[in-house]
Amino acid sequence: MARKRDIRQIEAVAREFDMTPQERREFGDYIEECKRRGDRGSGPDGDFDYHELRGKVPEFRGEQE
Amino acid sequence: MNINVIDLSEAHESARDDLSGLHAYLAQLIGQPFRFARVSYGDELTLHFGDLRPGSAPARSHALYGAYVLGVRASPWLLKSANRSLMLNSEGAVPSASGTIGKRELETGEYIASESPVFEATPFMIAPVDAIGLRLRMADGSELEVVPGPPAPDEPEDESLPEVADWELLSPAGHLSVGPKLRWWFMPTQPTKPAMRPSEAASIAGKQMRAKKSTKSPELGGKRIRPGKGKKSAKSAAFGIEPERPAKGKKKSAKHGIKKRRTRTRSRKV
Repeated sequence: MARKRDIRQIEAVAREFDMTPQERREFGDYIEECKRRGDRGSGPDGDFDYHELRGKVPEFRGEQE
Repeated sequence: MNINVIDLSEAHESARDDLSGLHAYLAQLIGQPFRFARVSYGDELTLHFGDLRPGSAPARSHALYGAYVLGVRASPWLLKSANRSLMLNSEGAVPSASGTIGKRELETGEYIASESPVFEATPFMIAPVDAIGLRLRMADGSELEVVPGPPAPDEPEDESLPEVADWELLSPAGHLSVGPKLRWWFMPTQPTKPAMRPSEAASIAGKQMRAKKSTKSPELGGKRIRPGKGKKSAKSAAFGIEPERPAKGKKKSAKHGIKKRRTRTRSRKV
């Protein structure tokens, strides 16, 4: 079953960074892509916590080299 | 004959359990061809329909997105595949009978025939849990049902997190968000630029009129520039920069100043 906490954390970060629904959707996909390629968070199963998700926003938006 | 109209340019918040209104908003999905399934973060199933385009974020520009994206958020779902005589369901929708598959297999398994158009998109009430479900039928006979369950109590660390919808549809027209409970919302896509004021529109119209009188520069992607102007003017035109012009009266003296200095230098060399 889908992990509701993860989805709610993405939603919270999206609201904090004023993402559109489309951008939020892409952000969730990006975090999933990171996990699959081995760039994992500190949580169980490589999940990202809220602060780790916030830290992913600049690279997602191409604001960080 | 009365013809129903759905204005997708206006935001809409439903009255409680307005299923017929929601059904009308879902009509935009009818006829859109199924493209692919993707599992997003949090193991959320998403189905993509319609024309494909690359992601708009720099980090997702390599990935494709359907013009219509159905996301089931955290809701249980059930997929009846006509293509492969199989029934798949998220954990929690119905008990498992014959094994499990992984995310990648769900994405690549072609459980719905590619290009199969949406035939029916119907919301339905799930009275025991006070939620709205969704039944999606594809022309190949496949069927997806989204069946939101009762809301689970928050863990203490989750209390500050926002509630999420039971399911949603992103479309070129906007964002349809359904649940929790029997409520739903439609927010039209925000225009990328705010609407222009009449004075701004008049100013742009004036610029366009002046541009028509000028010649065309192939180097600058067809951008029109005024004849008789140098490279600096062309760049200014290309990047929308107004060239700096010396004030009247000062132009002549400035020129003389340069000539004067040059003359002096030459005289020293001699």
